[in-house]
Amino acid sequence: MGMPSAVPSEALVRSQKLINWQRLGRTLPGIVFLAPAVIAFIIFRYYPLLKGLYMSLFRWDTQNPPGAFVGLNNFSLTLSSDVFREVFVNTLLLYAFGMLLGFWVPVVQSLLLNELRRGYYLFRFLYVLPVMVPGIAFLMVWKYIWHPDFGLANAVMLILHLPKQLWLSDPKLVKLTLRLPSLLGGGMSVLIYTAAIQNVSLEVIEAAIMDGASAWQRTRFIILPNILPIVGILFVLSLTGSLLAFDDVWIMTGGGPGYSSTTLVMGVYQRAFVQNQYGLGSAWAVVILICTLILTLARLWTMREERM
Amino acid sequence: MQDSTLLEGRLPEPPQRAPAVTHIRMSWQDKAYRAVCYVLSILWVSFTLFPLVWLLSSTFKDSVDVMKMPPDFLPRVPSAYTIKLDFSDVAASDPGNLEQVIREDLAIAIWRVPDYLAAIHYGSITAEAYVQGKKVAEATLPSSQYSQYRGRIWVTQRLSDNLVRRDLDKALSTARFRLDMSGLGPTPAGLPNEETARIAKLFGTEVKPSSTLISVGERRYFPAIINNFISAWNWPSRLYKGMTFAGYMRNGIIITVADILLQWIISGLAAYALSRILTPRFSRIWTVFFLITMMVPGVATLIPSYELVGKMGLHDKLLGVIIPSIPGAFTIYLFKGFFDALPGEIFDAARIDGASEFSTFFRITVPMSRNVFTVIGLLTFLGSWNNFFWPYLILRSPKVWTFTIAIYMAMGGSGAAGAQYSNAMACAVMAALPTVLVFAIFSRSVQQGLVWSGLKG
Amino acid sequence: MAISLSRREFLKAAGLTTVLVALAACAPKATPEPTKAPEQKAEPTKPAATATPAPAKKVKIKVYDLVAEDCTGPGCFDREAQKMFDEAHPNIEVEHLPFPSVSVEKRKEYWVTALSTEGGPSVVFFDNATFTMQMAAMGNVAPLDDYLPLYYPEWDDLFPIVQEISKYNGKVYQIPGMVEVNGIAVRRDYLKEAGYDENFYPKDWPEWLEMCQKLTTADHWGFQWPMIEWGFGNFLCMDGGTVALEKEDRTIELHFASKEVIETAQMFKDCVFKYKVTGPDTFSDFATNLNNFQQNKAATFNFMPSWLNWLFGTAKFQPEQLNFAPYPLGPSAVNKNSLIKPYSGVSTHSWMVNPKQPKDEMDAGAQYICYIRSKEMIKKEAEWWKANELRGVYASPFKDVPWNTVSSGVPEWWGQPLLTILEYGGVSPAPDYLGADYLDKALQEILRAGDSDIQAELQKGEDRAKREFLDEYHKKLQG
Repeated sequence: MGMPSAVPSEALVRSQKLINWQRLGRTLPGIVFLAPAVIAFIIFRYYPLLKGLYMSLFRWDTQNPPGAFVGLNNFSLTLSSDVFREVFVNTLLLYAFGMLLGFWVPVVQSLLLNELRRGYYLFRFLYVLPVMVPGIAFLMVWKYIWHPDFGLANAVMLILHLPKQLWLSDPKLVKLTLRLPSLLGGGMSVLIYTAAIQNVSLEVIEAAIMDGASAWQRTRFIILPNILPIVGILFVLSLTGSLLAFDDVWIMTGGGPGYSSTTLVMGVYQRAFVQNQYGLGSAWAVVILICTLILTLARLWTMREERM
Repeated sequence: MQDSTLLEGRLPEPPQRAPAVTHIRMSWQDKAYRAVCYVLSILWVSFTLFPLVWLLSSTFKDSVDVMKMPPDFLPRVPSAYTIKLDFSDVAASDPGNLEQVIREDLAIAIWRVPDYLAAIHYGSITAEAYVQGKKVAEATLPSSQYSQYRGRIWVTQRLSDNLVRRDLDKALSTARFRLDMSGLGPTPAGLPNEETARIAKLFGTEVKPSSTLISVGERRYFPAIINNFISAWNWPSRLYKGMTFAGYMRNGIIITVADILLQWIISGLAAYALSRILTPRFSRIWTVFFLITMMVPGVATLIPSYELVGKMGLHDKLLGVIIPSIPGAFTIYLFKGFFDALPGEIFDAARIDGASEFSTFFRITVPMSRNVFTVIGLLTFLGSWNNFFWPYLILRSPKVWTFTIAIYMAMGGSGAAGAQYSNAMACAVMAALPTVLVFAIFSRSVQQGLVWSGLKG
Repeated sequence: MAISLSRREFLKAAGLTTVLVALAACAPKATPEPTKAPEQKAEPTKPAATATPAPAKKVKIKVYDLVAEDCTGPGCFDREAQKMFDEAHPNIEVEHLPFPSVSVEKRKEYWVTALSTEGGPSVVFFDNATFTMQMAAMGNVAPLDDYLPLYYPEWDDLFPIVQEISKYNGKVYQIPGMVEVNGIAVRRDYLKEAGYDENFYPKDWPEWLEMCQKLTTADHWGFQWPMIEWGFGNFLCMDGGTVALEKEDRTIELHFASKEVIETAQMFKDCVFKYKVTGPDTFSDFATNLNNFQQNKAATFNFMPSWLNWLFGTAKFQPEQLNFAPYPLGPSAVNKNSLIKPYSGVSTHSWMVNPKQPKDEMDAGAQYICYIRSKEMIKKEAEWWKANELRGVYASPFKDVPWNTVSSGVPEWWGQPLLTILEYGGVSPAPDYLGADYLDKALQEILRAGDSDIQAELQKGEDRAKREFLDEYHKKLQG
């Protein structure tokens, strides 16, 4: 119907006289709709964030909050602590291993999948199936597989006449072991890449076929470049989360032998809930926050550049 | 084109696959390439699914096999042991007490022997009473009953004949016991082997019933293969009478359903307001207000949120997990994106007609947005169902555990008792089954929804 | 928010004070608690047949001691004790909550978190008295001195060592339960194989190392237990050393790099690398170590006799196959004045009260713990053990309740070591404050590689602990 040009005079009068009322009449339900979400965000996002920043400036006393004000002392403690440095390196290494071993896998898997005629949908379904299984089930199976005494991994080592390894109990191996399962791939990424592959324009492909390009050449020179943008986006996305590894590592090793698989977020947890140092833990959290923000802003900036 | 599909209430279809190229003969290179792709895909899919397969196979192994090295690939079929006892002497010397002695001896046999069978796989133990060659009574104790009730009846780890006699009623009521002095039908004896010989040696040394041992035999007993599931199912009842694993699932369902409903209502209404009701400037401010929080990782609010929930008195309560997950920035973003793409005329028309915003939302927008609601429901479900850490922090008593916490506790949480892998695995399989089934049935729509949300993000 | 809470509490307190003052002004009636005391003493020996005078209003407390239905072992007696308490105290409603069965570290973590926030439990239980001291130092548990005359007059009958363990800074913070002693279990059959007399146990470290080596064969190794959790502390203790000393002003002085610690760490390291008497996985957890011991892969195991029931219940092997020995003396302790006896870990189960609860809940909590751990209850527990054919060795905390009335089904030769330990037992040194994991990490670094530098690692650990934790702790103490 479009914007009515013939506004009933009543409405015009109403809008002139009681313009606030009408706006209010439209806005009030809007505010009512908006309010619960806003309140929830304030209580559970903004308030804790600010409180966390606040807490990091104190030697927080849980018995008599807030305790003594120490300014940036917690931060200098954090940055000068070699535990922090080691844990930071751990987190980066875990991320690096995860990327090296697992980032390219779904790409390859979807490219392979693309060539299948029969079984395409079946295979794609099977690749995505792990998404629907509770993550903890996987973690547990892997913990079982990596068990030094009766796990499948060492059984395989024995068959290959290689020495048994301690896997998750070995400080030198634990980070690698944690990320080895990434080689299996699958999951959401496969879905996204296959969708991206399907988006590649048909004409270009048919033209290539006309020109006599083989399937391999088509894949390498047409499809792959076309999906690289999406690959790039997913890469950048994973980068912003690179410092946040926690759940799966914690369930598998709880921090590993010594500090060898402790991650940054685990450090926060340990400081707060084990050592009861809420202030220091909050400082760690703020440091992580700042680093993550830098990465996020970098992502937004590069995406803006792309758009331009 | 996108608008029209949205209007029809469908998500944009993923583009169709390139049609099979049949009009050009495939060169041998292409055929080879395709073959390689097939092989690699088959291999890779197998590897991806292998952990699940291993999980499934290991779940059927008993607690001894699960720690065997090298591990078996297929679980063993459990054994059923049959112990035959002869009461002819008792019948002759003390006929008045015969029934009582039979009850005692059978109970002793079925309850004491499993204590020594820890290293042997067994599905059930049966003790049979014979008088003059005629079977007159039998008692059967499946291993799932043993593991569930052994600790409930007796506190000691070293059971003695006297203790069994003392608690005879409980001992027999938890087993399958039949007594008929006129004779029961015969049962297959089973075969003797190493393990039966070990059991036979117990009689007269550790186990001293009044009757004499005739033989011990072993058969395959397939039904016992689900014992791990029975034990895992009944696991919570150790602490709370009558609670089963379903209790953990129930907690998970409550949390997840509440999460989904709250996201639909609160985030949906908010996004609708941002998209369709409020003025653009107002809306932009608030959109930014919501979406900036996506840049803040959970760790930054972990400690204060924990304290806050404590102050609200929600520690150890399901609400303590539900309420903090109400803020959903990504959900609002998805909703808003969808609502923005809806044609504006419909809303203007409704307003002119005098409909209130409320009824507009519920009567017009929602039916049109079935798909985005489904997708949000799916995403919220995935996030909430598998959520581990926050529930672990907040929900301390087993009564309110979700199954993720239960599985974690079963395998890593316990210190002295050690990881009960069998238990944990059975729980994991039981927990994974519903979602896998749902996915199998609704696979098309689920995948579609995931793709759409993924691309949007 | 903190401000508004204290305002509420202030109002509550003001209201209570007013009421009390009014009552006191009208007619000096005894407040409810003291009148309960005489009944309290009589109750444990006879069921509460007489009606108590108008009981105080109902109080509800939360205790994390729910006993599982299929509980086996000595701790299960608590179920009976709880029932008896409920019968005797109709005005106190106890909500029993289960405690997740987790490792010692996680339990500590759990309690620290629970006790430092609101809505925590009224009563805390831990099976190690050093935890009590730790919590007391943090102000997380309440002093019980005022309750003792009312509910626990048998305090004077406790062993001195038990009294000492239950105190911190001169005040009592826990009601002790059964006394645990820490020793070593040694396989008698392996001893015989190695040519020793079956009743042998090592008295000092040279004997210990020799024994470990002789007991290490192709099938089994000599030294198996958690490297970090208890083993180190006990050996260090028997070397006369400590990792931390708490001074008068409650500050802590770390001694990570002291002579005895280095000696002990060196001994451990030699066990792993030089003598090779340990298993392949130096960092395995308690459950795995236990498993190895039960599967005949190890000849010794860190052992507390009270574990007897659950440890050996299933027919893997029986206590008759084991010796129970005190920890061997270290070189520094041997060289010291021989009148100074060595001491190894003596600890008790400890029951404590959460000071953050309202006063009536604290009172109820104190009543609860004094009741279920009273002398009468301990005697009843001993009888219950015998009736249920439980096996275990505890020492009762009371001088007048002999150890063999609270132990059953154990071989003769366990008695003497037990009494020895009790007689000379002392508090485990080094109140293992939250900084303990710095030591653990340092030890893990040391045991990781044969070429690790013990002194350097320990010093690093100490510096780290000081920098990250201790300095903060000290500053907090100063306010």
